[in-house]
Amino acid sequence: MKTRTVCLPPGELAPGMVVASQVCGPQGAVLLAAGTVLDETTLENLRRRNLEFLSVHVADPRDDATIAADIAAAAARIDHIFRGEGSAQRRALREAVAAYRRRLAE
Amino acid sequence: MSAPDLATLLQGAGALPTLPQVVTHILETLNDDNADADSLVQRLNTDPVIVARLLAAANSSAFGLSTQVASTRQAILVLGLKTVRTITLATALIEQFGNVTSGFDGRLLWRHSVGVATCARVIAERIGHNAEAAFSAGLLHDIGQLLMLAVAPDACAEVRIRMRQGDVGIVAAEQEIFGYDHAIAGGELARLWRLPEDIVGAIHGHHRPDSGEDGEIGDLVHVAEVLSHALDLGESERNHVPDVSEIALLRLGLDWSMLAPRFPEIEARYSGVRQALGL
Repeated sequence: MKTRTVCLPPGELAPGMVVASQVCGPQGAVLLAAGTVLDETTLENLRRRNLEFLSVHVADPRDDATIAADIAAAAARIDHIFRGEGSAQRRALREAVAAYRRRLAE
Repeated sequence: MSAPDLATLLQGAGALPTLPQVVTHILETLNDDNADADSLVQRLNTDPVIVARLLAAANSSAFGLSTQVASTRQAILVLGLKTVRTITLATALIEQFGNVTSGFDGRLLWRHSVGVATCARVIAERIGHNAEAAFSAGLLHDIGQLLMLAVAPDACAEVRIRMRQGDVGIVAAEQEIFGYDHAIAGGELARLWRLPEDIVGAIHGHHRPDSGEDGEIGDLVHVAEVLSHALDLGESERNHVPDVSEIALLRLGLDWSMLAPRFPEIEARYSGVRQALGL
């Protein structure tokens, strides 16, 4: 099955998710390598270290039509929240967020 | 119907509950590296609502430990001092002002405040500013709206109608109806409450960063607010991204390409704080 990469708070992490990028401790030691499959023990360890978020690969069961619909919905939302004119920096922000939303939806 | 002028509004500040002692303590020690956990625990333990929320957060699925957390001190060990201060500050404010915001969607206001606070913390980390002070400033930045709601609920209802009818921003609508806006009112309230100067500046300056009067933290909370709207934190149906001050970005030495790699982290941290607060 296809996967997608998402960044989640501790409460949304679950066993079976795969670490997308390595996690280091405050002294720089690697706590979890990329590719590690999370289980109850690794999850509890991360929570004990007050981890605030983690990037993981999760299964993506969506078909092509659903992905296309998600991309269109994300673009429509950007159009809505960025309605009206603004400065060059507001336009740059719009581009940055639109690119991020598109990557997330793909 | 006429809205109260600023002096009358501030006289009505008595209508707002005062800040609990523990909140004042946290705000006063934000810039104090030597602030210890003991004095925080002592003050926390006088407030059962906050203790209950802290224990609930420490024992919640958001942190998911297998052992039960039963004391404030243990909660600090599990959650970390930073998270304890975050939860305390937010819980105390939400509890304290719950009555004022019950008439309109108070939840939405607090979600927005948590969104701005999260963005402010990440921006502060990126530019080497005090991240906890930035978070607190973000949480408090719209306190003026609470004062206006408490003292002049009818005029605030008019503001919301004006915003809906004209699709105008809150500052323009408040200026039209009150002759001032919630940033000015909030700044004055923070002064009245003798909050630290940088928090006053952040509240006062978040809608007028071009003036440069309110220092780096005013710029920071302004940019954090724009980013929070852009990332749709708070998910208001009518969300509208306000314009951003290019001068504020320049003064902070920031551009969006520096923050874009942290968008996923901002969203995750925002969800985490919301879960911990039950918002």
